[in-house]
Amino acid sequence: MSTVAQASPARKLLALAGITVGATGFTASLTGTYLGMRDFMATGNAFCASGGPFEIANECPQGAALLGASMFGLFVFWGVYAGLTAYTKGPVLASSLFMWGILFALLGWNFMELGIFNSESDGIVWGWAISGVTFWLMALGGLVPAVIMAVKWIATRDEPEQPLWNAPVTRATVQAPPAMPEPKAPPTVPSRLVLPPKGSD
Amino acid sequence: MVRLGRGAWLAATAAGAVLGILLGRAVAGAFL
Repeated sequence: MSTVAQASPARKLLALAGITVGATGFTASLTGTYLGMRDFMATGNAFCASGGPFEIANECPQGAALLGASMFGLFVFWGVYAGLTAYTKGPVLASSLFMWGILFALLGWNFMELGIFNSESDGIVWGWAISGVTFWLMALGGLVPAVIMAVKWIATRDEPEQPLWNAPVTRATVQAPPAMPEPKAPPTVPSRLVLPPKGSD
Repeated sequence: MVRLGRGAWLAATAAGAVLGILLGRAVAGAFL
């Protein structure tokens, strides 16, 4: 295993290319998921099927296949991107939280637009509206910490990170000191009688 | 392990994002 100092330019270039591939694949999958979901919601039926030997009442729209393939791509390309970001000591958590947030924000917009802001619809489609609000709340769970981390990341520039704990963390339990014997008080009465030498008077 | 500069990482991510939107739209256009 090589160390950071020994990284060759070719390895850096490969890592950069991998990050670009991961980001491209994730964004393409995200676009496919967004558009496939819209198509499925607008033209599809909640119960549909494709292929097989039986007669199908509701054929799935093309968006369903696109949605399925794109959702698979989201996981695969996120893995590529996050793995290589970690390999290059990049911000894995912040970028992953941002990807989570942008995914749920976009899919939530599909629910909100078609469920609430759709002028062709008679009224609010409550199932989609509730799903949209839920998706947006889930998006906030990713976007808020991602923005906080990004602000810190920009503010620190390339300086080394400050230690999280300034004081040393003591893991051992502090033992009470062993009981010391009470110091002996000086005797108030003589313990032995000392006779003055004879003829001292 | 490889250490990349922030600029390089951001540039790779941004380039991937733009390429991904274009690619995703093209693929979705072929499907839908």
